[in-house]
Amino acid sequence: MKKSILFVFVVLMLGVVASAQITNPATATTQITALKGESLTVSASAVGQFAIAAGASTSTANQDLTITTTGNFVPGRTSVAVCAGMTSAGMTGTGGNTDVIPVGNVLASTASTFAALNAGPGCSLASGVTVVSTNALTVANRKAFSKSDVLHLQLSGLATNLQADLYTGTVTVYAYVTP
Amino acid sequence: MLVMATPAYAQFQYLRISATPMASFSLNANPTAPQTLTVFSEWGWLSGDSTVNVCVSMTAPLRGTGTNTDTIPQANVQVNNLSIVSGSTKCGIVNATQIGSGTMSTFLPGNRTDTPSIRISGYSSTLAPDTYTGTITLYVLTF
Repeated sequence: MKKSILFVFVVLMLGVVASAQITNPATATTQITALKGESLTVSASAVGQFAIAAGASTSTANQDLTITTTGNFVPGRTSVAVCAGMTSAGMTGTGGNTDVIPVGNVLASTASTFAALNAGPGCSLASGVTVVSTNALTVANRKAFSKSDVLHLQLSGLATNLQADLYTGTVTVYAYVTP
Repeated sequence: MLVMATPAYAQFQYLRISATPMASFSLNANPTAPQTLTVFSEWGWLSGDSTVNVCVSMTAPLRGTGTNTDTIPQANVQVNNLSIVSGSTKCGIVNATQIGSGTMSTFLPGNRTDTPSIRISGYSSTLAPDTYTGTITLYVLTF
């Protein structure tokens, strides 16, 4: 009887020790998260200087504007539009010269037919731009969208008595992703 | 005799590890800006052990959400500017990276805090916009 009691006690003590054994190494976990946001960039090349012959109403040669658009979009995006427009001030001369080349005299074309650069709406703007391109987003290009557009520019309808001067204006380019 | 040989202190032994959660990494630079992972280890009543090693590892990539199949491989996660996939065995774990080591006093409770720098480097430039999540496992080993 005494031996039986002692045996039970020993077994119980071993049970306590076994349940208290630690895990070595001890482990835990922590989360690591990273956020990749959408991106959309657009840039414009410099535009060469137009030559305007004396008394001419149209620039001697066209000049090209190259627009580069890149992006990485979520699957819900379906299209990227690229647009260009000129500020309403048009092209202004220097010093006290008050002559201007109105914005309406700045024409644009992606092919061969020219129209006013600020002809209409586009890129979520109600007016004042030319839509240079509209590009569908697909599984293939959605994560590494890259597009180069060339917009031909021309000055037309110029006053033939435009004062000799250097005229400067600003073309703004836009990229707009939908929806 | 058998009862006397059993260490009564064993039921008080402990060995634990934990970490303070990190903020989300912003994937707008490659490598990302680093973050400090604060790892806290503690122990007590461990007879015969005199050394403590602290390690981290990842065994799976960071994954995106929904149907996005893009991943950030665990090898792109860096600890102190080196891949977390070390290629060697640390803390008894294959491909773990050791972030701390020190001595400990037998029986006496102790603790240590390790603060490795974590960043993500070399991830794909065409990674789909999304939130990517992975798991870092922490280890504290005494011997």
